[in-house]
Amino acid sequence: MTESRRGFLKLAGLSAVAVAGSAAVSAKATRSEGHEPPATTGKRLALVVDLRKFAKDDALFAAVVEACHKAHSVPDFGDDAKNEVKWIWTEPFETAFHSEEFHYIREDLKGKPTLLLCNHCDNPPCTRVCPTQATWKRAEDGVVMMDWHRCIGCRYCVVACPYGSRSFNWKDPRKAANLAGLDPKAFPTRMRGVVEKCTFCDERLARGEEPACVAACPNGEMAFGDLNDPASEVRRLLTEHLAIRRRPGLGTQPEVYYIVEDPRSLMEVAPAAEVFEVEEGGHA
Amino acid sequence: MRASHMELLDQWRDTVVRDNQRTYVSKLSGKEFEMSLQKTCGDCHSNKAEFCDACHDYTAVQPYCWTCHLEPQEAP
Repeated sequence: MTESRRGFLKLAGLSAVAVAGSAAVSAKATRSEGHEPPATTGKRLALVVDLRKFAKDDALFAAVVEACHKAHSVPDFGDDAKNEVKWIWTEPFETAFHSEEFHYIREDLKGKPTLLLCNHCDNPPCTRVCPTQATWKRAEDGVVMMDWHRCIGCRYCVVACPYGSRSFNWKDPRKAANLAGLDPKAFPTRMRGVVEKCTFCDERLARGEEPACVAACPNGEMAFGDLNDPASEVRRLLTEHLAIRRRPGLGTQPEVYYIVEDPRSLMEVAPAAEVFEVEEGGHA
Repeated sequence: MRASHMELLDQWRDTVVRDNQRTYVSKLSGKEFEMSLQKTCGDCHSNKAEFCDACHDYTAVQPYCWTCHLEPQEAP
């Protein structure tokens, strides 16, 4: 009897060492998560918003927002800001890019509406804080997904997102006037107590279509595609133009890019000689 | 189906939302179905009062499918 007890204790000791060892290995594997450059394998879906093209048509913002919100049965509570639910929306240019601290910006850029949505970050803070994994980053294409079945409404992700891309349903969305009499085949609504946000139209991507916002743009004001594909439209746009992202200093690696100015047009406006003259004058 | 439809719905939900697989291929007939409560199930089981509520009321269970998903409407 004593021998079997001794054997049991030996075995127990060995298993404890094995468990601790495997735990250490898995801790090592997860610790580096999020501190690596974006994956270069598989797809990396990204969106490019051409603000120069948007500047030509002020009515397009509303059309794009409407297209998205209609496609996803997003409730509209009018001017009730506390209960606002938004997947895509506009902010004045300086507010959208406040970290850039634009001080003396051109008059035509000042207060100009800028289209904002979930940035589908490469290093999303929202997915890390979710206690139920109701939001996660899809490995195959980088979309930051939502599982509304799983969301328990703790709102950690709303706090974690530095872009304000997440909305909480304080009120039953079905009570919104715009969602009365929805078609039974329409996109499901959410329920009260659930967080929602843009999912890059994962339901449309599954059918091989572009996101609804991109489809609503008549002249390529938005482009959508795979950043890991060197021949893609988004890669071409980012190579040829100067594009900025919202708060890149946070290290979230947002994947929504904004073309603000064409560097070639800048050169046409201000040749090198003129710039030199202005600088000389400034120092005098 | 009457006894274990909830398990099928649970599996379909996870397969669509978590694994991004939206088509179900029947192992018996090879027929393909879109795994969608509203688009596929609702096409035939279009009477919520008879197909859902009748048993759910009797067994006093309150699933919350329809707080988000849209109820099927019977053809007039």
